[in-house]
Amino acid sequence: MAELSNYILVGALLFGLGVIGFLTRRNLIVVFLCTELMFQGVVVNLVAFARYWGNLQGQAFALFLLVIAAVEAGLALALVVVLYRRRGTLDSEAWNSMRG
Amino acid sequence: MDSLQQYSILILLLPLLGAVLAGALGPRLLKGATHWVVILAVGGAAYCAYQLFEVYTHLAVHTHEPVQLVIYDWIGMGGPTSWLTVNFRIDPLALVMLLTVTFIATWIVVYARDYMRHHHHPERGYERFFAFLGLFVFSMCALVLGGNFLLLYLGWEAVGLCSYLLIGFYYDKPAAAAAAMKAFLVNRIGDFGFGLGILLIYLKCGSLDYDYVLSSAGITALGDWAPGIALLLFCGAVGKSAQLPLYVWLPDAMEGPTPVSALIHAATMVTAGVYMVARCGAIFVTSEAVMTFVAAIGGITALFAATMALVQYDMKRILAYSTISQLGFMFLGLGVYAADAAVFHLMTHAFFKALLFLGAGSVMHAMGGIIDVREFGGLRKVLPWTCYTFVIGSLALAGFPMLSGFFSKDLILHQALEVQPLLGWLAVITAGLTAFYTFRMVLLAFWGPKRLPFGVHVHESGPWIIVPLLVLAIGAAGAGYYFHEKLPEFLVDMMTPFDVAFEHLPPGAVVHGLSHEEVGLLSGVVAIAGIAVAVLGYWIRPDWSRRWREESGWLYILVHNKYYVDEILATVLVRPLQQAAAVGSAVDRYLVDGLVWLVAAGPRLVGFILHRYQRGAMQGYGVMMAGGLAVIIFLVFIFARVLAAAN
Amino acid sequence: MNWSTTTIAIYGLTALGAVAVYLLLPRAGRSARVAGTLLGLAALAGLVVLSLRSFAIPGSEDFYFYLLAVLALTSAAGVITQRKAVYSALYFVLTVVAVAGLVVLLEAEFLAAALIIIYGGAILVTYLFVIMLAQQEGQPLYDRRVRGGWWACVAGFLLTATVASALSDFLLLAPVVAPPMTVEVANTDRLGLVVMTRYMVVLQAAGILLLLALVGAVAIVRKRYPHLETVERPLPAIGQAGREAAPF
Repeated sequence: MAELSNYILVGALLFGLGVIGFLTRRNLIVVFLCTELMFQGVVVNLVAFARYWGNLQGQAFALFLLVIAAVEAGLALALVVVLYRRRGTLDSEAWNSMRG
Repeated sequence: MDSLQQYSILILLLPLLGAVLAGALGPRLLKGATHWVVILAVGGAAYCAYQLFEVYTHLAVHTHEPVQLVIYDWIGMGGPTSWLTVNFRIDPLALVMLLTVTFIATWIVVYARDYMRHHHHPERGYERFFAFLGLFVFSMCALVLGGNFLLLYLGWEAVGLCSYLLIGFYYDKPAAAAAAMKAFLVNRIGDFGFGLGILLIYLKCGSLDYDYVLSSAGITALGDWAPGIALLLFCGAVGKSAQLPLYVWLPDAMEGPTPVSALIHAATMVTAGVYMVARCGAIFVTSEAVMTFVAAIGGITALFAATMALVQYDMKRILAYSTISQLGFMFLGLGVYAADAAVFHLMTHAFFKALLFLGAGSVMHAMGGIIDVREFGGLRKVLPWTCYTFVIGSLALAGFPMLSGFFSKDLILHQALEVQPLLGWLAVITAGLTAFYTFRMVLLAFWGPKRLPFGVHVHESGPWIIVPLLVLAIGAAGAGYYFHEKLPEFLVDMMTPFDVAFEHLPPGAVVHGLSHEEVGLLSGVVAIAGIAVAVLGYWIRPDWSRRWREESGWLYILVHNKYYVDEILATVLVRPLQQAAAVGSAVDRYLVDGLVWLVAAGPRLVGFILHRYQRGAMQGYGVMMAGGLAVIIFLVFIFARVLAAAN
Repeated sequence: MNWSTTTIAIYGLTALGAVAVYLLLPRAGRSARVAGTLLGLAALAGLVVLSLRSFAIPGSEDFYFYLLAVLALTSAAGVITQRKAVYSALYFVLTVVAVAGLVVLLEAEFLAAALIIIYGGAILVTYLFVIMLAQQEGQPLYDRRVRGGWWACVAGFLLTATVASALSDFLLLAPVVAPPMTVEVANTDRLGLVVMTRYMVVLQAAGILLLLALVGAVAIVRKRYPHLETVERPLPAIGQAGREAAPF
């Protein structure tokens, strides 16, 4: 049985890869995909903690996290579709009208 | 117990619900039917008040102990006992007030249905008017029902707000807007003292519940501060109940619609001060000087206002000065330890003054908005219902024997002649003046040759107006006789502090002059004499009144100009304040605003430097966020390590 | 090996991984994909060795753990480095499968199934739909060039390394070993009991949230404001837009 820290490390690395992708990629769809990647890291952490505490709260939390992920995906993709309609591109750089 | 709680909550919630419904649904949905919501709500409240009275009297057949109901924790500050609860105190005084307020309000709302509809501002703000009326009844009931000083204050301010809103109902009329503001500001002066008094009570007692503050323990805790607190509280009463020197707002308040004048500025709200002094009797009676002061303010106001009513021509203004004068009678009663008489007078006054105002409104309604008695006359034939109910109300106000005003005024006069003979005789004179100016108004408006303003089609009002007039006329005629023994009996518990203090007055303070019967005879004679003089001067020999006016010369001019009080106040108070305000405005504009500008300049500078880093790209912000988060986590991590090493 | 050297090792290996990811990210000119791959594999191998040496007592299950962990991490790297959005999505499916495997190792079978069904099934299909709906012909520039990847890699590396080292540091001070599972009731049944009793309100809230999201998504996508569809100012050329807005 692998130790908790191993799972934590995997979770952290998944999260970190998601962050890097989120910050670098310009395709809005891939950007949101990277947030899902971060969710995966969190799920690994939650379930690992649940296992090592010997209770189910982490699992229940992860379950609700799935709900949140689904909601987020639905809304984010709806927004992506709207944005794509308005500019004809998925480039996140095309949206910088908040520039100071 | 439970039904007490239910009924008392319903009394509060029904008018509030009515107000909210009328305000929310009125303009869109209910429109012309809005009055039904409020009539049902206020009528329901009146019914609940009656039920509450029934339940209460059956609870306490022999003793009229107050019942304290805790509704919920208002402000919890930790600890086992809550700091402040919303609690109701149900006792005879509260019940008398509740019944009076809700009963009169019900009929006034009924009256307003027609009055507002065909008024010279047709349908404008119809729903708003009824919503405010509901809100007012709610506030007044909260004021009366509340079992602690904070609820009292809440209700006090809320009725002030409603009064402001309703005086300024025709807000596009400059006079109305100014009158509303004047009422609010003048009340504010009084309320300032009132608020200070309540704060002092809390400081000294650590509680705001009547149960504690008005008990002997609470009075002991107040100690030497009690007279001062009583004076501060009285300050509030002077403002709200329009006594000298803060009465100036009430005549101007007649700019509001007539039902409002009847309900708020005659029958109910202005009596809040009387209610409060009666409620806090235990605090007031701690000092004889304070009681004398209350009596003096009341007696002098009564005379002063009555003289001003002598020479007015606007019916509503005559009634307004008369209200001030009658409120003065009530305070005189309170000041001479006759609080039950004062509350009794409050009740009878509510009947006949509401009736008189509604009658004046009916005249105004028929005259197309004209209310100056010089413009019309001899309306007896064309407005018979209005005329005869108005006469009944006038007789009651004048103190005609066996009508309601007679009984209550009689009780006050009797005790005043014993405790403060000087003020007592002034009050007798005032009673005569009251009878005179009341019938002067009646005769000018209803008797004599028929005169009508040009182009007015006179018509008697419909049943929506006549029925409330009749009901109130019955009350004005009969309430005095019906209640003159029951009410003091019912209020005996409230009277305890007054009676105790009265017993302990120094021996020389009480003069045993006239017996009850003699006083009754005296006041009856005075009333009839006042009426007779009016009849003589304004009906039989109209030229006499003209001669009186000419011969009194400067006195007439002085009184006619209301003793120049408004002008004196303007010179002494308003102008210096305006100049001070100008200075303050300059300081604000240049000093304070300058400082504010300086403070704002810092962020503006920082923003100027930083704005170039706001590139508008979401992920750019993300990079900074991730980096910042990493640094924070790193620092926490290091810190934890140092801690671990230190251990 | 004491804990501080472990920390240093984690920092070093994460930095190595970050460099590898940087090299792998799509960008203009010659990309160093081979070097990146090699570096990444080296970093992963280093992590495996580190964890074997410092934490783990090798056992039969550990083989699966390392297999799945390496699979998850490589496919995650695939998600963020692929030049085609479809490939990214497919790599993401692989990540989900690997994570589900890890979750099975942690004896949360129901959650593993839910992950595959919801992520691999529902969410990913939605993504693929949108990719097909909104993807432009060929390989658009914004897929071939990342934006200022260097700073992002540094930030991501810092975040990962601090989180990982902090967590494993504290865990190392008091190594946590999983208690043996005393399973009498199946995982699904137990989870169901918890969710339906203790988290009942949360469950209801989640349901309402889903409904709201459904309505919201429909409301967002509906074409209600035709006048907003017009572009008010000329679009910058796609490459230009990126250059203008680069935050660093």
